[in-house]
Amino acid sequence: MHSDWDIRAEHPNRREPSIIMIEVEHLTKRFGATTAVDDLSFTVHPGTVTGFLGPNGAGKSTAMRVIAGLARPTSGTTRVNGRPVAEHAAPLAEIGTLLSAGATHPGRTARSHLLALATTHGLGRARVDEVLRLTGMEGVADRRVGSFSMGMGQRLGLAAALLGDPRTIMLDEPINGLDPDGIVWVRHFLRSLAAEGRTVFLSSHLMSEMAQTADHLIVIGRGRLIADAPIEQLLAGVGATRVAVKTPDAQRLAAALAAPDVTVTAVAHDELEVTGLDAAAIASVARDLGVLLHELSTHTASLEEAYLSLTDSAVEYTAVPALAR
Amino acid sequence: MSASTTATLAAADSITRGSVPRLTFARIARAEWIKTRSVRSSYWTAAVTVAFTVLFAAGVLLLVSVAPAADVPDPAAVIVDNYGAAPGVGVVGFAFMFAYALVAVFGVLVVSTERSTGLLAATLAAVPRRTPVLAAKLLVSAVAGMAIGLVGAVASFLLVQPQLGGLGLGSSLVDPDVLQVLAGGALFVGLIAVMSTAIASLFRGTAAALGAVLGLLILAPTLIPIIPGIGGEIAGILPSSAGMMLFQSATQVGWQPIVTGGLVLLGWTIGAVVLAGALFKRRDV
Repeated sequence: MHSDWDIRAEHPNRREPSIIMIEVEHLTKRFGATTAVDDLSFTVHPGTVTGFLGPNGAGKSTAMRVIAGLARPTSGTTRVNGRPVAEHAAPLAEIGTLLSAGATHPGRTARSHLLALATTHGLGRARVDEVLRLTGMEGVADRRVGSFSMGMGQRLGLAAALLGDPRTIMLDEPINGLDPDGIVWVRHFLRSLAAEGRTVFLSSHLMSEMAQTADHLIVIGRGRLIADAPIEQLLAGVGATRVAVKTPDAQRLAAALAAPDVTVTAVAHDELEVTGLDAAAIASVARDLGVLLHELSTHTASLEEAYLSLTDSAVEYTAVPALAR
Repeated sequence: MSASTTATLAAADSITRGSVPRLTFARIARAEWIKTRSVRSSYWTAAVTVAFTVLFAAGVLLLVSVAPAADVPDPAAVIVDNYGAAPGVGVVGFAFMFAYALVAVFGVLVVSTERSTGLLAATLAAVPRRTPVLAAKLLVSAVAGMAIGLVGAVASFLLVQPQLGGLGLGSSLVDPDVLQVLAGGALFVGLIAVMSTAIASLFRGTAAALGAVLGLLILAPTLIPIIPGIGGEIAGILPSSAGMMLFQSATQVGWQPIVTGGLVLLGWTIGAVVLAGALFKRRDV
């Protein structure tokens, strides 16, 4: 998929400048006795990729469905680009959504599926061909959707989301079923969309991918907001950088490293864990002391750790008992 | 940049500079038509309906008229007994009677396949106001239903003319009687299609929708008359039984039963549409 996704930056903006964002205000959604979303408030801003994280059943899909107008809130409001989505004259030009990629009629061709959606807004075959080309689907455009693999179905969903050249884009698990090639393409594409000034909002379970794609994170658990911050801030909150040091002379080195804001923990008889000093400083101390280092590695907090520590108490379905930290 | 990129830029520019996208009902209706014409089941259902209609409306009459003289000594009398003094008109009536059940199925499929596959979510994300989508589906249903019914009825009529002519019972397609019955029948199947689509939109699965629609249109008129006492009266105001008056010949039964029957069916249809519209707009997808 060597699509020239960068052409989109060249389009003249034919619409008047206006608010580009997703606003969720005190959103509550109950299904009978279950509260899926509980007084949730956040704003998704343009120009950055915002990730939406949360354990299974946290209410991410529900919140996205309310934003898209597919479900009514029990209370609270959501707005897309300044207005509730139903009030826009051309919803597909305001917000492109990918909520459940498998939602297609198996007997229809990809082209017909996209054409039907495009026609509602007066967009024609030319635009359909363009999004097919953008997502690398020209070759399968006239094949029946029922014969598609999961990855192709996902790409079709992405193509549909892009039909209206939307200012805001909201995706639920967009890289589900894509091969590594496709995952990289989506990452670049989403970042380029954000760089153009669009609002990009995506939910995903893949931490490693989210860490590389998103700049800002909104984390929810049990329907409530847990965190709403830039990625660096969340990672910093988890814990400072730790350096693992392996040396036969652990005790001597530990004594030498001790200082007011330095913590040295003896992990094993020949291994130390140091926080408060970077690897270069430790190596320097060791050299001055004449201590031989066998291993020196820096461990930065990962998004996975940050996420797990944030949502620890909010997980509905635990797979294994909480691991000792 | 490569040559292909430049070409794409130029093409894209012309698209964006042309028209700003916006929703209009005409466009939503055209989209619904694209959906209907892009699935094979639409064509199959239509073909089966027409074939079934012609087979029973025209086929039976033709069989009777070509049966060996020993079995049916007076075909003309048999035909007049079963199809009325103007058998051409009678055949048209039978055609609509056989067609409407399958037209109801067609009407159900217009909406049910979308709900069961989850495609409705994509459609309503593009048209969050929702009501225009339902209205467009009802329109497609009505037009397609009427077209299917008319094709079956006209085909049946034309197929039997040669035989009837031979027996001195022929008539012309442009006879006022024939035109009246064709118009009434078309209205009948059109309303049935609209009602089927409206009722089907209330259900999540295709099977449930088909059960409800066919139960109301086919089973109820068969079973309810069995209820002692009031059975007969209730049966008279069921949508399909009342609606069938629409393709009776006015010269034979007079206008009043036709109009009354039509109004009863119209009332049912309006009720179904109002209920469907209210729920379609409010329910979570």
